[in-house]
Amino acid sequence: MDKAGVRMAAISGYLNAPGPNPDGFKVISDAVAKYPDRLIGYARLDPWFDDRCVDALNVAVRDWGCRGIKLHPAHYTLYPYGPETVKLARRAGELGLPILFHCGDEIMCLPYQIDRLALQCPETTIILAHIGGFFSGESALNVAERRKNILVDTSEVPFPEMVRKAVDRLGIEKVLWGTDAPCCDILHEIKKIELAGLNEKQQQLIFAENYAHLMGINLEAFRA
Amino acid sequence: MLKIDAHAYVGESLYGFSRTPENLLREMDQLNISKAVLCPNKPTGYALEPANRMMAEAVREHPDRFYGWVRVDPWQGKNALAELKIGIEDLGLNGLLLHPYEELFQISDRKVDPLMEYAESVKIPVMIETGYHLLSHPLDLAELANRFPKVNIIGTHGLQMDDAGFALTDSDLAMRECANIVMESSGMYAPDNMVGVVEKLGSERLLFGSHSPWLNLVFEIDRIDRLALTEKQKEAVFGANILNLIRIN
Repeated sequence: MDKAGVRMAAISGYLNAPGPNPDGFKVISDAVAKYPDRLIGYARLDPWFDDRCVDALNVAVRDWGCRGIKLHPAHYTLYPYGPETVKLARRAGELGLPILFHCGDEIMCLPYQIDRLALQCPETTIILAHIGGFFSGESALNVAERRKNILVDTSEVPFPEMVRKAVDRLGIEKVLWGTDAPCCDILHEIKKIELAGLNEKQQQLIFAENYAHLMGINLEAFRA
Repeated sequence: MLKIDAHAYVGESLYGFSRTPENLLREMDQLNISKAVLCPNKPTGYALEPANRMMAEAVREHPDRFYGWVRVDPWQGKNALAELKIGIEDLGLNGLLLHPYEELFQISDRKVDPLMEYAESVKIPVMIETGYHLLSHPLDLAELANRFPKVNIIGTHGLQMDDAGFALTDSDLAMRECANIVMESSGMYAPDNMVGVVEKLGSERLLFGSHSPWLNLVFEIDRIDRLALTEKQKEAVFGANILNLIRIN
């Protein structure tokens, strides 16, 4: 982050909780405790565990200040609009936590599937990572356009033009920057925004201000 | 550094893309790309033969800048083989391009074999649009590559396009298993995997291509620029490898 000039990042782990590792959040909670002004911790969860999953979220919020949820439905194989995920997403809405979904071309992660969740949880902010990936971009824009509570993030999608398209279709405030690092290269992900044909103010909104607004982060404190 | 785009489409595509060879030359000049291996877009009339001819004409007009892949559809059977022969023997083009997604066939299907047998007999490389679900998954490609171990195969998109990373392991496996597969870089979002190919399997196993204009040429160059490779390795990836494969000195 220092090398790339990135001030803050939302982080999540590779494994879902609850899961085989009872201490699955430790790497995230330790990192957030060590760098509270740089890192925002998300809990990566598995809704198959139903109430235990919701409990894990409550504990994560209470114990280490979890501020968002990461879901990758193809990892745990549940329809994103099923009752387990709806229950978790509604709790996230009550807590004011956004849910970052892997949203690409895999079954269980398709935009129209996640859309059915968003419809049932209008108070929950849902972020579609990768704007639908290689082939589901148009569907991602279709659902983000019609639901107030769906946003997109620009990580990994291989088309700079898709960022511009998202801005044109959704309004700039619904487009967030992300990297998916370390799988993807941070500087390459920055380059994508620079190639999207946006002006400096628009880039600033995507790179920082939109997310700061969503999370209640005061950017003025950084600028001082 | 010599930069060659091994994967640049020209012509008007049925699927909405369009680029003239002249426009590609302008882009190349702006970006310091010396040469490109042209791929003909599938035209609105569906027939690939006119697209091959148009591309061959561009190669003939700019022999110092362009090479060309002959594109054929295995569903056309004997006519596909005849067109490939014309492309290589009469039009002087440099290899075979197969696009399982746009021509709708599975790359491990036996109907591809006559084309591969010809490629083997005249020692031309075969570039395959790879990573399309059900059609050219990395292990589909490996199946074909294992059947034709003497044919050099270029698998595009890092051999996979699964944005959850679920096919990265299969891509690694195919690369390890098949010494005749060279990975092309377009759209390959995982730099560590590309660096791993170079470091573990050799710098001759990765090459630069853009798959533009579907993908963004500037963004695709940046993808290679940012890889943690030595200058010498990057020279291989950016240009030397494709020249070796199409047997240009």
